[in-house]
Amino acid sequence: MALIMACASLAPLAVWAAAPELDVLLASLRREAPQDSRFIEVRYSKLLREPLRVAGTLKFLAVDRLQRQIDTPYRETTRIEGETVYLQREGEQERRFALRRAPELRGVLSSFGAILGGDRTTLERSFAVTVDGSDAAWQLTLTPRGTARNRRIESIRVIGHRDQPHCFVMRESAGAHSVLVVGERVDMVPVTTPDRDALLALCARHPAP
Amino acid sequence: MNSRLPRWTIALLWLACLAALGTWVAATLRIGTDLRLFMPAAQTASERLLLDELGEGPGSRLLLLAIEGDHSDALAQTSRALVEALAGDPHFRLLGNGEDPASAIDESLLPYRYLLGSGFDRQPLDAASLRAALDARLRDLASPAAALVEPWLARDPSLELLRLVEAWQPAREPHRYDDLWFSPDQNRALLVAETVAPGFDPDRQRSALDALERAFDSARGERPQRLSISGPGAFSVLIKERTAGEATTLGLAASAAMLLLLIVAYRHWQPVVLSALPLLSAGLAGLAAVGALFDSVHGITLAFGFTLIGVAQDYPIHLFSHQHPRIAPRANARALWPTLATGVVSTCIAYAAFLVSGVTGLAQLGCFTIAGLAVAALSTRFLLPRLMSAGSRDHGARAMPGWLAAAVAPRQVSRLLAPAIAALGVAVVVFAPGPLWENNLGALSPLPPQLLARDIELRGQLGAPDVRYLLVVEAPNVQDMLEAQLRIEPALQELQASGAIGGFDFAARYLPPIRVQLARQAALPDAATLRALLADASAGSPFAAGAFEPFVLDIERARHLQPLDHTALAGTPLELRVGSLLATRADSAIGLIALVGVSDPQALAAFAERRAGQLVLLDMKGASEQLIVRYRERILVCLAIAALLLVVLVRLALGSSARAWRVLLPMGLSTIIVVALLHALGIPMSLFHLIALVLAAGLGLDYALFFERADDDPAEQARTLHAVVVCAISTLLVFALLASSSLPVLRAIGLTVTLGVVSNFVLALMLSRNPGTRMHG
Repeated sequence: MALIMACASLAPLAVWAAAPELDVLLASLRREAPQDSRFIEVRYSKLLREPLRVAGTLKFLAVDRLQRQIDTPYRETTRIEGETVYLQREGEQERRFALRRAPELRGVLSSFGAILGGDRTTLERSFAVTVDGSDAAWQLTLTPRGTARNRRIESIRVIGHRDQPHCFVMRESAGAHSVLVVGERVDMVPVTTPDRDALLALCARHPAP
Repeated sequence: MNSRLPRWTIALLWLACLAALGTWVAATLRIGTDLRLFMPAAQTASERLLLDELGEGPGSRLLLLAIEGDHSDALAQTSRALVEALAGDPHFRLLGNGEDPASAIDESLLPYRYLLGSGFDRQPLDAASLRAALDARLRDLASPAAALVEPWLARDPSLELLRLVEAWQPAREPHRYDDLWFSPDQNRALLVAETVAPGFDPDRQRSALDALERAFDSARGERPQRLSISGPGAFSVLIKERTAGEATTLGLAASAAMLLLLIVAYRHWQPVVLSALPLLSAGLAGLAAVGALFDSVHGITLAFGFTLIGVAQDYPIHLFSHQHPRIAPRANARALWPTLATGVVSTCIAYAAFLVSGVTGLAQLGCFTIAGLAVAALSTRFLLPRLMSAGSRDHGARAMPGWLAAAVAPRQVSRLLAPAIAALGVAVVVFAPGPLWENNLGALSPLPPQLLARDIELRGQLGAPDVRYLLVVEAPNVQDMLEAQLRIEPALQELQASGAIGGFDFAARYLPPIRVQLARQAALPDAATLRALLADASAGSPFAAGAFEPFVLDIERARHLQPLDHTALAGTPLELRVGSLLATRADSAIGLIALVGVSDPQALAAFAERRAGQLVLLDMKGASEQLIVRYRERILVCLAIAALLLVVLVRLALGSSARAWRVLLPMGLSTIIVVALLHALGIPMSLFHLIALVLAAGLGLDYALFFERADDDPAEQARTLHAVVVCAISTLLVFALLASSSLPVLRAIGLTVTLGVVSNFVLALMLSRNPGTRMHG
């Protein structure tokens, strides 16, 4: 019995050395729709004196159907349905964007949906994907495909442990960063919004054993 | 008796003259392809526009392309490769597949967004509106659209650029796949090309199509993809190639049949070879005359002209059939000449009607035919006899095949026959249902209907403008015209909301009048005021101080810009869009309102009716029909005058009213019969039927003149019969072949002449022979 336990605790050590296989990682991240998760998204930009922070719920309804609902500090709902993005703000007419027309929108939300759907084909159609780290602390880097001329997103990094993604970090060409925290780590974000490095450190922190 | 030597000398000299003429013609003749040569001068504004659109308009230069036969991703790849391969190709002004052409607004137009866009008209730039804009941008930054907004935010916090881009979106966007235009089922990648060459220039269109096909072949590589091309330019190439191909095939078949007939009829090489000389002379003389009098000869003139002067083949046939051992060829020609000349001059009078028709293409046709027939007749009279030998045969003495002899045997004809035929014919024309005239230009199009259906389908999928309806605003100058368009805009929006039209597009949408631009400019705050406004609006917001300094600079630039007018658009992405919707003339400016998805033409017509002073609804089909009606009326008047002249001429030439009546009656009756038959068959008559009727009437007149001429000598009567029978059969052969053509125009001419020749021959046989000399038995 002790031997078995020892083996079980040693097993992760053996694979820490190498980055996990993309297929294996995606399979472990896959969730059956529908799934809900709370989120906090923080944006850092030189146009802003202080970071911009919103919180709400992400709903994963299907591989190509996703809803992002902001509850604080105001109410706003974004839906992705296939190739169309709908944006509904309180007291305003719903706005609509075609993903094809605005590839910039194919950012965090698309990658979030593709990762939860375990859909490597969709993911790789829009992004070049690399994996670093280990099973226990991995990092997926998504680089948008398409011409550099009108690329506004430089990269999206997904940071997580084992089968849990914690943060989606988007770096924009214009220099702004946006960090989306999901799952349990939402509760770890302090009430006073931390600076970018502090928040990223929080994303990468090893889970409590 | 001519010795052998001078005969060959004459033949060689004749051939040398023809060769020289041929060389000159080949060197100087330019062949035109502009269909407008066959249209009368425009009289109304809409006719003028119609002709412009037909020849040079942007609609006529548009090619619609579809790539299919593969899965969507591969099609998209080929679509991109094709656009890339043809970038900068001199054949095309534009080739689009839906991929953003670096957006409609480039750096040169960017500062103009505050003059061209209407955003601040509704919502002036003040602290309140600025605060609302900044609040909205803050939410944008927290939304998935953040990456879209951030790069512009500092320069354009109210997103005027976005509003402008949205306002300039096409009225109806095609379906997309992978960012490119596709058919809704995603089985076809769609592209639009605008050629430099006008649509009705098949030669230059052909080279554009070649460039397109070469680029496509290299773009698709080994994949089994197909490219189909639709649009006026592709059609004009197809029409030209089909017409030329079929005309060549039919021409060869007709020539072979003629040759065979001449051999059977004369059983000697001489008539077969020599009868080609007047025809050849006629063709070259016709070309030379047109070449000397007109800048260029239209391809259609050539095609029809050669059909019409085929009649010249009859002249040597008369000479050869009347030749027998007891008469010298020159005496024979002299004896036939009064009859032949009367026929030729009468036919020329009929074609002279085309000379004064006011339509360049028809005038060319008249000129070509008159010159050709005159030369053929003169060479038959003066040159051909010197090359002929007296011969040893009397064609009149030859036994005809039994069925033919029975068919042409003289019969007693009731005096009531002629009035009965005329009455019946007129009754059919008056009482049979269906239109007598064909007013639809498209009915004569040789294009297969499925190609036209495909064109309509592609047009629908691409949201290309309606090809039939167009609204037109005319004003003394461009600025007034743009103002007029702005005044009409609300009404057009109502019309769109009512569903009568799917959308509209006009120049003022992209280029507001200078007055409007100056007013917008005057309303922009100066830098100090704007900074104060911004400080006020962003107080308490998370935006950094001075974040909007680029906005202040842009507004400051916009305040000192020269307003844009249509001439300043050259080289900008707007040049094409505005250029295709606006035309300037010496004393006026014309603005086109392109319509998309016209679903209720009646509501559209009523809309235009209510605004009669402001705009005109141009119905391309209606305008072309109106044009054709007017054109035909004029030609009919000319033909009526020609008919009167012809009656006078025949009466003078024959010296007796009774003889003139006998000659003219079969021709007149035949014309009535053919018109009645066509009408009874449900075939509405077009211009080409009219030309063919004139041709048939000319042939009939010749038959009647020769039948009437035959004197008491039964042998001479037999020779005349031989001549007319050979003439009629040869003509029948040629035109029956044409009637079998798949091309509507050739079919129209072939059928009409075939009917006309049969009717003329039969009636001339029955009615024109001198009653006093009628044979019995």
